[in-house]
Amino acid sequence: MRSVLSAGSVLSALLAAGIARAELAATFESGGAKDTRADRLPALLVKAGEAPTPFLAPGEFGVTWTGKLVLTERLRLVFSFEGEGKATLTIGGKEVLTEEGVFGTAASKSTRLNRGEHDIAITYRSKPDGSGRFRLFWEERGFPRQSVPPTVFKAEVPADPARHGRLLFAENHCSKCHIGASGMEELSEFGPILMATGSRLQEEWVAAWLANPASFRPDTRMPDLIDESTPAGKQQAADLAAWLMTQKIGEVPPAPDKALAQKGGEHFHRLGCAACHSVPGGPADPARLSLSDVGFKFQHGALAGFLKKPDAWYAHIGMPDFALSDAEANEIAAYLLEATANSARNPSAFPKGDPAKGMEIATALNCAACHAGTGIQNTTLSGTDTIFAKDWSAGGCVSGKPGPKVPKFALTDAEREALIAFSKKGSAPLTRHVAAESAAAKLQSMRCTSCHSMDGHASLLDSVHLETKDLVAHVQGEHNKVDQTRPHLTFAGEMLHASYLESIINGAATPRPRPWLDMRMPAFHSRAASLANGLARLHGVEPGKPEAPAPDAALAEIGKKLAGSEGFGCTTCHGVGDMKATAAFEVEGINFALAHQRLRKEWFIRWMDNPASITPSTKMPRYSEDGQSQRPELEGDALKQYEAIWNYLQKP
Amino acid sequence: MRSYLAPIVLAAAALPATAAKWFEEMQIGPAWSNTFAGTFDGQQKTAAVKGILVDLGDGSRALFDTETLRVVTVYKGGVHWGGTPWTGAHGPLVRVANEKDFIFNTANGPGWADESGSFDDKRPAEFGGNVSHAQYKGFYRHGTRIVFEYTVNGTRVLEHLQAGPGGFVRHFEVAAHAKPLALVAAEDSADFTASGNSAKSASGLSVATGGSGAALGAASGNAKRLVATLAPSDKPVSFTLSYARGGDAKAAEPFNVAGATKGGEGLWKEVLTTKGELSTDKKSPWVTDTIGLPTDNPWKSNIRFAGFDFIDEDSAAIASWNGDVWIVKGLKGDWSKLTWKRHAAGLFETLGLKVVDGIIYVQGRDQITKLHDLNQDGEADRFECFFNNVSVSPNFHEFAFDLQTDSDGNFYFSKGSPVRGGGRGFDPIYPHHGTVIKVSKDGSKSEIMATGLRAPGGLGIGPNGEITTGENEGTNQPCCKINFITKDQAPAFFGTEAARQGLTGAPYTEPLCYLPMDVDNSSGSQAWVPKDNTKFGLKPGEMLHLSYGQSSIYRVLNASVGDTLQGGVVKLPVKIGSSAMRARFHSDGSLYVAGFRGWQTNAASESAFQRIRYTGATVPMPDKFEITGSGVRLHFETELDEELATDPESYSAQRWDYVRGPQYGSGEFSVDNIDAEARKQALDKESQSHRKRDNIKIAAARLLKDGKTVELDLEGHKPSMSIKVSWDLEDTEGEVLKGDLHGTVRAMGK
Repeated sequence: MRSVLSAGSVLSALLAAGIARAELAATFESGGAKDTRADRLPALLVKAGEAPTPFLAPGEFGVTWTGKLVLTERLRLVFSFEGEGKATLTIGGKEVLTEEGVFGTAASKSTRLNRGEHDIAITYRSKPDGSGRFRLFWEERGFPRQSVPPTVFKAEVPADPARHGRLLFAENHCSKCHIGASGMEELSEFGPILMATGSRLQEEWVAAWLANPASFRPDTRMPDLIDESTPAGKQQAADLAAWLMTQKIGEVPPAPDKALAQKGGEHFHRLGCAACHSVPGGPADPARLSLSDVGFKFQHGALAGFLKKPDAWYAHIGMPDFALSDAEANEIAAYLLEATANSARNPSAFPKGDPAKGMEIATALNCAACHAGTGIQNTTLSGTDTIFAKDWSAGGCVSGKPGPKVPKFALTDAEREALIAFSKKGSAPLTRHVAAESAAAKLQSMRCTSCHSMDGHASLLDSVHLETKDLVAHVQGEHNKVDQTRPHLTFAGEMLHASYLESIINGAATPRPRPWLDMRMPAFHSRAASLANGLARLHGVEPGKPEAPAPDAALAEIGKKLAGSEGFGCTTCHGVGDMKATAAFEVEGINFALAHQRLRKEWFIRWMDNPASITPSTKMPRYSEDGQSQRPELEGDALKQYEAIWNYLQKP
Repeated sequence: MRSYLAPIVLAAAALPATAAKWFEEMQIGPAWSNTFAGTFDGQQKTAAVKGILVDLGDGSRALFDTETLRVVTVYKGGVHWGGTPWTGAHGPLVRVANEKDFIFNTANGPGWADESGSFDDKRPAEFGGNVSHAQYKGFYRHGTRIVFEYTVNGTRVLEHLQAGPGGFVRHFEVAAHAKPLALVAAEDSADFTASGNSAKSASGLSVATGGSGAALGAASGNAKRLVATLAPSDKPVSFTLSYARGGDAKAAEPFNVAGATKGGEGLWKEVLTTKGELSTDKKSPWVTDTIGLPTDNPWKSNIRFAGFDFIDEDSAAIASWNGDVWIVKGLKGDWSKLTWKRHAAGLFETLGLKVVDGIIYVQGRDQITKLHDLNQDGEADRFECFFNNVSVSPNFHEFAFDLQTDSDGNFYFSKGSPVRGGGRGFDPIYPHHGTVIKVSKDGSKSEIMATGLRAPGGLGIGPNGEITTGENEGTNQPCCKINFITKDQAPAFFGTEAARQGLTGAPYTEPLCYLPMDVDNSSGSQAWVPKDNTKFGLKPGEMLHLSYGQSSIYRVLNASVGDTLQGGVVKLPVKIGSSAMRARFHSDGSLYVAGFRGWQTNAASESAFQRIRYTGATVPMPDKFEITGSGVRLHFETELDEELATDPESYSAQRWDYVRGPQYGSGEFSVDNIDAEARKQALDKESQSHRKRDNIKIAAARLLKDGKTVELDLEGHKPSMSIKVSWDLEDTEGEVLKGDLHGTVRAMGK
């Protein structure tokens, strides 16, 4: 289904209060309680004992997805379900299909739906033990049975700010001081470890940062704990900085050679750094992190080390690991230092600090709650349950009117409202990890969609990458490369085995599936397993790994012929193991040796049937129409031929 | 008769120890036209863009350059494979393996002196090209012997290259000449000392002349070059040049060169037999019959057919990408026995073929070759150079596509631009890159009819001299499209800025229509239904467009309003066996289609040559497309069910624009809500992931009185680079008519 009709995404709903445009409204009900969220597609996978949403207790539940089904042409559709429980599909007020038990034995009658919008509702009831799995499928004369893609749904969903508030509670590390909550996965994330500060950062920067973190980064989660308007406050900042500078591990290498800067700029462009960072030395952009203080913050010789392993001291840092070589890291460091050399701020004078006092202050300010190894943690602050009994709008960290002993958080008004709304739900949602919902939020918070398009929405990088084009303007032949398009995420969880998703998010997928790309998928080590699991569940798919290859020899033989030059000539663009593609031009295909470990069969069939329905700009040709292949093998039945190729791809 | 083995690579040992590659086994014959690289003074460089590699039969080879008329290199060995039609690689050329065991090499420049006695190279340094005082005329094949024919300062020269026990010998026969002539006999790394009949270089190359008329001497001012000088003569002279490295060359007696220009023993004697497969489908309006190809042939020739034409109603000539021309006979019968004769081989990436008055003209990258069978044994023995006044570059992508004629007998072909291996940007542009070239009926004159093409794939010439080409997505080309000009609009500029070729300031010529990737992602030829053809189910004078990439054939519906060109395409419901590259109508009214797989296509097999027959069944698609003030009007060939035809729900429509700019291809941009920023960005950055088609509301659908015409009112009707109109109708018999039209809207009619 080619469509660019879907409006907005569920992710905006997670961050903005009010009405969000999304794909579908999902209203869950369990034990008399209700919870509505925006979903990209009608799919779920909940295991017994798991909560269906963070706001509902585990146990038998129901959900109704409502919205519009938007068709760009008249289709005669047969719908069916996958999963277990009880489900009913209603379109235009008419019941189309109901099934109970293990789904998949029934299918709707062929239903003719005209071009345009149709009201759609899917009600699903879990099994009595609270477990459930659901996916919605359709098929048409023009395409085989496949999951209904998110791009055909449209809905306006009133977003409950409490949902965003819950994420903010974790993100601001509230439970590090107000201890007691656990279960929600994000609560286990910590701030940076400061043990190596003295061999990484500049003392002046540390003092200035501590004095006013938000002045460096308006969206920082580091609270402002010091009143730098007073001489005493300034002294505190200086003392803390002086103490932190005594925390050293290893020698600081020399600063990178300035001559490397040009090469580093090339990497900065080619790796797509502009997806998350505004251009060094260029104008600021609230949507992206500025790098203008990088030379002020880092000891110049330590920057390359940070770039090489950004999560070395901060496992949950947003900056991923690009597996940079030493040379690349040095070159990028040289570029960043040079490009920001003129953007250094006016140093604000701090008195000389006293390390011993700094250590005492760290303990007093409870730094250790978030930063391991920075003094003794204060466990006497109110616990989670206690704070949930209070009115957060009246006082405390969230209220915006903190008292002298309360840290100042750089929260927007909307964020305060979201946190307050959340406080009224009680602390139980903090005990629940809902993998799919967590993954949906991470797609945004980890900025996946800054580089990858999804559901027909272009990535941020698509619109900002040009900002850094001058960095490669001097390179001959820079633009004479094969197609550099990055994969989109619309089908991620149903396309790839969760095991492969995990390895690619973890930077462990070797060889790279798309070695021709200048960009490379960076690793988010600490989040790989959780995100891969959640993405599969988001599509209602059991997270799993490929089975041991067991191809049918006869079919595989036919598949090999079909894939080779006697058949469709797939090997023109796709390599097979060590054998290179015979004549790849303008684009390259992914090596067939990777297919088995990467692809789920269901998606493979969808792709083979109509590649452009998945990726409109793909150069992958379409080899069949209405299920009929142009080749005679296996009665010319395209699906049988794809099955044969699938068998071949098990062990090409 | 010795058989011709393919020039097995010296470097073959470096390949994995698997079975030989097909191109290592294919027998090409004694003369192989191609662009060759080679090794000179230890440097790899282009050796000859219009080269002919002569297999001398004893494992040695000589490379003859038809631009400069000189022997570029003579060496013992084969080639290092490269070249897109051979290895598939998009970049490296076939390279002669002359790095070690060579007799001599010569530097690029005229092989013969001009009338002033100068060997100076007056060609543009960056493009080379043919030298002006000497013209290549082709070669004769006499068994395995090759005799080149050319003129120098107006004098006819025949030259035959021979390997013998005594070394390498060049045999010449030069017509009477009033002025002296001089040729480069050899070059070497040290000075020559010559004594009239013989010469030797200090680095060990020995040259001797036999016969009469030639005198050897070191070139004045460059003793590393040996020149053979011919005094004026009122009679033809025959002489030889013999070569030996490390010994003494012995003067050879001239061979009767002129005697070898009458045809000789054939090379590919076996006639192969295949069968055709006739469709038994009686229901479809068009059915496809498949000709069995001579894929399994004794010479391991890779059969990837495209350009073809009928010699008569029973036979056709068809060229393969790897340079063969075959003749198939038996087309008139029931196809139970089709015979195949390998008529010629060793031509240069032949992608077009035309038969005129029974003579085969075949278009390669280097020239249009006129094939003659002097002794009527079924094999070409004179490869006449009909036209070679095009410059050729070493780039893999400067394909020479198609060969068509107009009603006056002029020839037309197109050339691609030198796209780099990644598909983005171009190598240096040569004078004929990206053009449509018209060649006069006698081959003596040529004219550029269009420029700015990138990868036209094929072309078509209409009944009134209309010139059409396809085009592919790429730099300056947002997507595939159908270029269309009348003959008086030439020369026209079709968009690729790098290949403007002097049409400075000429406006971009908009195409008849743009086509999205799923309709056409790589174009083939256009074909026109002949004016006497009433048997194909389409109307005489209609145009068809072939998609190589989608293996599809489209009916082209011209919807021009006044002078504003516009139109659209609807797909013919036929399935074909490979890609759709070339098509011609047979005199029996059927359409033959040929194609192969050489780059991205969904073609189901490597190659196919097929016949498409009309069965007489209802044609289930519109034959007329008009753009009205409020929408579109479509005329179908059958009466429509009124209820469905008047229901707006039976239709859907979309419109979108592309951004034409320096980037590769284009995304799809809203016309109803113009995103100026996105369009601006698309000029600086590839935009394929931008997909914003406008869904057009069908405001009204009317069925006109004839019962066959529907008129649709489209909300917000306006010009757009692309429009897609889909229908889901039934005729009055209840047959489903489902399909779509893709076109371009520029001007509103009535």
